[in-house]
Amino acid sequence: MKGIVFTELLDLVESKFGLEMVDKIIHQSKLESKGIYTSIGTYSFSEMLQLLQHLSANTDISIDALLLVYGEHFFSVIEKIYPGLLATYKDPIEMLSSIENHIHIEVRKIYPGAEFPTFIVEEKTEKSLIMIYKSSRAMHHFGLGLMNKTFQYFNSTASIVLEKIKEDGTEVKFIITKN
Amino acid sequence: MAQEKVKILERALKREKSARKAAEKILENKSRDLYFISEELKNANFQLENLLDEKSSQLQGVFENINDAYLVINLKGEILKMNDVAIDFFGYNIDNEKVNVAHLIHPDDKNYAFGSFNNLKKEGSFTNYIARVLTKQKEVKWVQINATIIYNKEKTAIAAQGIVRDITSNKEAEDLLKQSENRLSSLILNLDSAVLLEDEKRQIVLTNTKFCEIFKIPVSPELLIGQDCSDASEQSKILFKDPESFVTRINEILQNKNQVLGDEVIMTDGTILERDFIPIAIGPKYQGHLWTYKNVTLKKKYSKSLESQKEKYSSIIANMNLGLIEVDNEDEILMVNQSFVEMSGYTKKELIGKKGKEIFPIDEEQETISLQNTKRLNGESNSYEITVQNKKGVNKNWFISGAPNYNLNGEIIGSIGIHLDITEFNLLEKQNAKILIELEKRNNELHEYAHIVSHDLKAPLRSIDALVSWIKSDNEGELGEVTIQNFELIEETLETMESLIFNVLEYSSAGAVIEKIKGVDLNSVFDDLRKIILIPENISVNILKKLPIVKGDSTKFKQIFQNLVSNAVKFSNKEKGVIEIDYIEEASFYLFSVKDNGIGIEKKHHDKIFKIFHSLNKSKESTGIGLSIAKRVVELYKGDIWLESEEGKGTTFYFTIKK
Repeated sequence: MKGIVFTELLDLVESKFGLEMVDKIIHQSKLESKGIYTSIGTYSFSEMLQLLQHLSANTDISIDALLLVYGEHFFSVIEKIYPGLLATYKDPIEMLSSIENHIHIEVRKIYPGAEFPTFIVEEKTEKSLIMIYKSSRAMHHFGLGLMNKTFQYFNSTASIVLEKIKEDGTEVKFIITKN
Repeated sequence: MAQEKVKILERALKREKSARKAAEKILENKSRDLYFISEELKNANFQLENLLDEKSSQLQGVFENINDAYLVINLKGEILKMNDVAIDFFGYNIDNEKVNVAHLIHPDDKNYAFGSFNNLKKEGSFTNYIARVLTKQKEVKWVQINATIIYNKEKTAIAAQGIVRDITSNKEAEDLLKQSENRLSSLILNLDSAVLLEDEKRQIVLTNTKFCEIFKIPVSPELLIGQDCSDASEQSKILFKDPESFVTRINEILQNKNQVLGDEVIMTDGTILERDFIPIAIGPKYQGHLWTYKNVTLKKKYSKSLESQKEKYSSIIANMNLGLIEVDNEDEILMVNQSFVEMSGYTKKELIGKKGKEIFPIDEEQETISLQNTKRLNGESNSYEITVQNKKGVNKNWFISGAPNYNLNGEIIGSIGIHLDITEFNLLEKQNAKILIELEKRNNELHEYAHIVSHDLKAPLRSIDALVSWIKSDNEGELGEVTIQNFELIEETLETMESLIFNVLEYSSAGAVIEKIKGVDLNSVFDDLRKIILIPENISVNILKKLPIVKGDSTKFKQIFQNLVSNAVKFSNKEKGVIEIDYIEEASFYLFSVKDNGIGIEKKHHDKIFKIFHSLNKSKESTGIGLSIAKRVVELYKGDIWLESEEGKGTTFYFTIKK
């Protein structure tokens, strides 16, 4: 997993819960990297999992809820790193439906070796979009947070229903309806 | 608490430092990687540049040295680049003026050109585009163009380049060749001989309509091209009278591969074909062969009929009763027939090859023959009579009719003479002439005799007449009534007797040969007749139309009309007698008619009346000789005489006179 996901998470934890919480969850987790992350490095996903679990345990907030917030935060990261990328879109549905074909490719230019979930567009109209999320990481709520922020970015709202196709969350259906 | 916080911060700081170092390490590594990659790229770039230079200079060389015109155009057709050959060829120079290829295209080829250009854009290249172009001097040239599209790095077409080859002279030569090929093939197609050209693999290269016709192949000759012939003789052998030898002969010819001319084959329908086989080789290489079949049936039949004609005439010549002899210009005998052999007494062997003059040497005639021969050499036909001595030394009279003999070129090569032995004929003629003279003498004697007889007969009659009148005058008044009556009867009988004698004289002269043949105007004959025949006033003689002029003796015609008209007058019983003379002109004769309204003649007498001494009315005017004379004269003129009559109403006599 790319280092930027770790550094941004720890930044967010520090801003929301303080440096102590950052120090605490690093301590509680058994990390090969010893909690030393640089955005351009690459680290094991199990470290992310441990950090999230300990954060959830220490804050009493579910992992999904944590991921949702983190996803919303991460949108601003993308906005900062790829300002041109977002500017090419005028419509949130358009943007979301081209995650796979456009956004992931752009991301890879800076972070070679990045691993992405798969988004399959199942149905698309002007106002709605149905996408299947597939990833062994089961970080669908991270995606949901990103989506929420996307609509916000284009000054619109949407109701997004999340249906788990597989119980472990590795395959999830997003039913997005623009308001 | 503060110490705890410091420791957390220290740990955080330591992590941040370590993270920075880790990041620096990554960057250093990346930097090194980048350096190597860029070094590699530089190196590769350098090599590529060299390669490019090399290629460019190669291309430049090709471009400059190319013998054909080379053009680069943009996609709108504007010429961007042209080599010297192109400048020379088209007459345009893009350094001085803008040129669009659309101006170069010949108007007639526009559609083809635009179609090809669109195709070029689609396919990326075309080859062997052949069309006409117009140069700046408005010359029309034929060109062959191979072109490709030039793409930029994004694979977008940006231009097109083409090599333009001037094929005008090729094209002209090709057209000429095509024309002569067309002429030749249409000639062959319609040739009166069947033609079959096979290549060395026995595949048909060319054949024609006549071939299909003779071999009963129901397709057009073009469809046969490329067909394999190795089995053809087997397939068509049934068309021939002797199928097996047809096949064998063809195989034999094909094996020998020698020229064969004038082979004769007969088809089942009687057609006779003459076959030629001509092998074709270029150098030592066998290229195929040509079969031709010519229908010679007519020619054959013609020569056969010619032969039979010749035989027929030969047999006529051999067996005819006329002697035939053919000599050349030197009078050497070339041919004689059987009759001539018999006439001359010499055998054929003795005659042929000899000179005519030497075999039949009659000095006095030599000059005649030479003269006649000379005439013949000038192309004249002639007939003459000579006396020759045959082998036995007997003199013979020959009547010769000769004509010059020509060869096919119309040159005189000798003469042909037909000889008739007239020795016997001459003898007979001499006898005939003697007999004729004798006959004439006898005839004259007879005539004289008739005259004498009639004259001598008339003399005693006149004496009787005189004596009777003397007795009457001496005994005037003493004779009884009956005696006087008897005397009158004697006188009447004497008159009848005299006219009888006159008529016999007339009749004998009527049969005389017509000597004077000249035009006789029948109108003047009639004028004379009116003076001789006494026509009573109650009878009118009418000539209905002007009578013709006929050939003959006027006294003979006078005799006919005199007898017919005087008969009509004699037997008129009507108050007003009408006699009408008329005629009709036919192609070969005149038909005359003499019509009266007299007593008429009974049908049963119609034949009798023309016989001599056959009078129906015994009267002193009628001796019964008149119609006999008329009939005799008419027959003398190869005519006919007949009548139509109705008793009491009248009679019409008809007679014809040959023109």
